[in-house]
Amino acid sequence: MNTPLSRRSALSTVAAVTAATAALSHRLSAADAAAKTSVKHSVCKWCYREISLEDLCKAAKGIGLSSIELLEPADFPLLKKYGLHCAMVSFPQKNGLGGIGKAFNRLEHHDTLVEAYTERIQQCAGAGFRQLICFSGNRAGLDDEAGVKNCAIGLKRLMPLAEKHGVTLVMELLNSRVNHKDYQCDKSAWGIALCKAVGSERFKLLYDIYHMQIMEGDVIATIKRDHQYFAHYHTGGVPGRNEIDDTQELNYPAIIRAIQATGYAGHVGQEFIPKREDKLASLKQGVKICDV
Amino acid sequence: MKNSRRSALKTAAAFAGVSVLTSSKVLAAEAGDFYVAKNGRINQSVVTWNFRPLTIPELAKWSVKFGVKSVELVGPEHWPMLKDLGLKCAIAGSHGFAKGFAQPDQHAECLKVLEERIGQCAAHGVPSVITFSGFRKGLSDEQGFKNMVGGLKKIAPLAEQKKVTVALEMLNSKVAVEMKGHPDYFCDNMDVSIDILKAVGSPYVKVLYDIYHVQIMHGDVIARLRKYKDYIAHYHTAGNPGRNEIDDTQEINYPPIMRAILETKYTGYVGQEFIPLRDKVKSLNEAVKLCDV
Repeated sequence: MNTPLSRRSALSTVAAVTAATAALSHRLSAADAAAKTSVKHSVCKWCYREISLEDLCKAAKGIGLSSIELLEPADFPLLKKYGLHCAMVSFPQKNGLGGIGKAFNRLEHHDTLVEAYTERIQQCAGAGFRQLICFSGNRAGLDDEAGVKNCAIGLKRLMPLAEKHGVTLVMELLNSRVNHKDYQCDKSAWGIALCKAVGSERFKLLYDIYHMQIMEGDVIATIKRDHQYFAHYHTGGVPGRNEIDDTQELNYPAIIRAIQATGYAGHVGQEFIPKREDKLASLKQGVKICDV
Repeated sequence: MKNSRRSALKTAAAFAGVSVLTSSKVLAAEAGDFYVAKNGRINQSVVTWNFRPLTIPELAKWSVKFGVKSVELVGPEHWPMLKDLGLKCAIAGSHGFAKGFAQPDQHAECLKVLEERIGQCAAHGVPSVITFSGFRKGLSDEQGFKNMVGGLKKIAPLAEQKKVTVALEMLNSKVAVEMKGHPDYFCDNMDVSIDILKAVGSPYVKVLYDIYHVQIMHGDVIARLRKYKDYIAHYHTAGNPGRNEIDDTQEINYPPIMRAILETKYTGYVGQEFIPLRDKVKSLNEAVKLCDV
């Protein structure tokens, strides 16, 4: 049945006649109705450099955020003070390794990274935070097949500890056309191949909607098809990585509805760089746009 | 339940009529159910196959009402009717997408159709005509590229002479659903399509930038259309995924894309080529409004 019933009248019907839900439109599925209240909002701190973490914590509740992410363990006490979650913990760096450009796709990085990530996984677990970001590193001449192979070797060494603590290592998909030239984990298909090679529920991908719109488009179809490999989502306007409103090409409410329809229970992380002067107003607008 | 939206609108119109008590105001309210393009900076056009069973004359009638300036991809037999209504045909149909310049053994047939159509376009003020690559059928990228360039170079002189633009359409090859995608279509990559046009090197051989197909194959719609603005002869719309309404039920945010198109100083047309899931006329009208930036 394809009914153009308005959402509001359909919802009141649900409330009034629960027994009749089976007769309701297929399009107004349980997932769709639940989405109304289930989007959890997070923000990446680095996009608001001129605002202190404490000020951002104070502003969080009024904006509708329950998480501030890409933070270090040193930031955890302040988050706790304000009752906030960290939906994605930042990466550890050791001897210049662990960041976007130099990470798991080189065998010679693995000993250092395993040591650094071992400590960071334990810190996450201790704080009750369940997701930790990681990167492939740049290709630097390495072909994609070897990149998957190398990353899997390093990540597999960390899976027993990640599984024991229930902490998921989440590799971010980034664009290599505009922002991160030569980054290897730049296509969802490559990331999914790596997930399969690692073979643990404790390794997944961060599907950054901004980056993937630049690299491959077809956002909703990709999410519908591959969401089991995506542990987290980031936003950003395309082109420009600014506000996610009507100044850019992605229709975020429809995308967030598609994410919610997959049963996703995690946070949506705002990761755009506000262009307008009142940055917190832009953040609030971003959260509102995604509060479908 | 399917009629609830329409009946709600009728009820609203009726209430409006009751409240103002005059029949002229009732008509005004009914007319107000439709949006009439008022900015007109984007020259809007409508493709017809996707609105079936609406007929071409019916679409022409609605186009006049909505401020749409063109009904496109229709044959010369419809052009006098369009002209009588003050409408253009922004782009003429030609051979179908299943045949094209990727395959040398199809060149003669496609050239014959295009040559005839270019003459008709020139005579009737139709600015462009569509063409396609056809299927890959095992061709390498390199060989297909060569075939495309060779074939398009053969039609370029006539296009230049008659000042009619031949517009090569890039289609998605990912979606294996009839009329929503075209698996094995050769020109499924905008970047490669532009390279083909560069190799042809004629100002009258350009690309049809179908926003729906580009979104499926590549994304980065605005950055791409800015980069390739000099090679774009025509635009098409549709929602993704699904190729349906272009509204907020899908991932492409059309108004900012239309504004970006205007910023490139584009003076051609944008053709609505989505397959409506709801009331076809109403959906067309809503799309016209979204694109009237």
